[in-house]
Amino acid sequence: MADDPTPDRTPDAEDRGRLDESRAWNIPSYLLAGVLGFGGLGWVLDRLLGTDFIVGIGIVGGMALAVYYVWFRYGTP
Amino acid sequence: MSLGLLAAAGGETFTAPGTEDFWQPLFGTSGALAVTRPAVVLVISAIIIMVVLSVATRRLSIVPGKGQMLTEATYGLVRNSIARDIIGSRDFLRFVPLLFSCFTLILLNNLFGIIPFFQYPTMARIAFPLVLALVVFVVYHYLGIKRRGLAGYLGSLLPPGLPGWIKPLVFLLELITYFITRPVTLALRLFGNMFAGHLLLLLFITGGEYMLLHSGSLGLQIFSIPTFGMGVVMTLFELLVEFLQAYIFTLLAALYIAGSLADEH
Repeated sequence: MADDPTPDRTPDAEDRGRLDESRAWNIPSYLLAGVLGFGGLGWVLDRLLGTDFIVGIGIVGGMALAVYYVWFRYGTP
Repeated sequence: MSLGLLAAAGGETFTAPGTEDFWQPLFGTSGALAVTRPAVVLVISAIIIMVVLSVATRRLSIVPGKGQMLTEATYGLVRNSIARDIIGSRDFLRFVPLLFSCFTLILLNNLFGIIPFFQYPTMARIAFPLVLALVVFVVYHYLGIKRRGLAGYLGSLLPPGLPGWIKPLVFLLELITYFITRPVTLALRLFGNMFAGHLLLLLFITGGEYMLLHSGSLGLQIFSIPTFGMGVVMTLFELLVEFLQAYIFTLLAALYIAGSLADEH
């Protein structure tokens, strides 16, 4: 395949379908990253500032951001 | 009649299997380092894969025998269904060795969970899937950085068309995803499935054995039959999970590599 003189550089429709399908596996990563990452950041800020509400904002905000981002990347044509 | 009473009547109490059942050092236990059962199983699996593949590919015939057919089917699955379809026909060939090694190694080690005498899924010890995930982690970051340079690579994490104010937040989200959640979930998914599945098998089978032989009560002895039955059902279910986890690990590795090679994000 590598020595093929005219390599096919455009994946056909079926390949595209499988690739898009596989990309769905990325979505849980983003959701987890949003909740844990921003929740963790909020927790650290809480520890530094001596407060107790930023972790909640981080978790909810991180979730919202991740959902928005998943919609942006995979939900829009 | 409670279960506790029944157990007490038998004289022995049942201890449920737990995490300690997975720590099985074989030799060299005096220090912190020990050669453990999963380590031995892993080495055996690597030898088996090497021998099987070199024997199966030595005498290739047009009309394949059973061994050649199985080898070709496995190779075809990784090469065509995973590598080519996801990475694309331009670049996929040089990643087939990595993906095929990952797939066969994970699959055989997972299958060892239910193969008699081995009966230990290596990936149920976190270090093994962690190292495999680290290999994938290094590969896809290396490819991305080599292709675009460090700054270009980090910049490429942001897709075009985002509103400006949200960019720093999304960039942070992408950083966390690329550098933390991806490798961690890759390792934990494999580890968790193998660990939990094997623990469940241990519970049904040691539980059934206890009820049948050590409980000393007819009721529990009768109930050991469905318990063993569940052990058989869960073993079949494990077979499916073991294959699926090897497939998903390889699929995600290919997907991450494809992401680092793709022109557009």
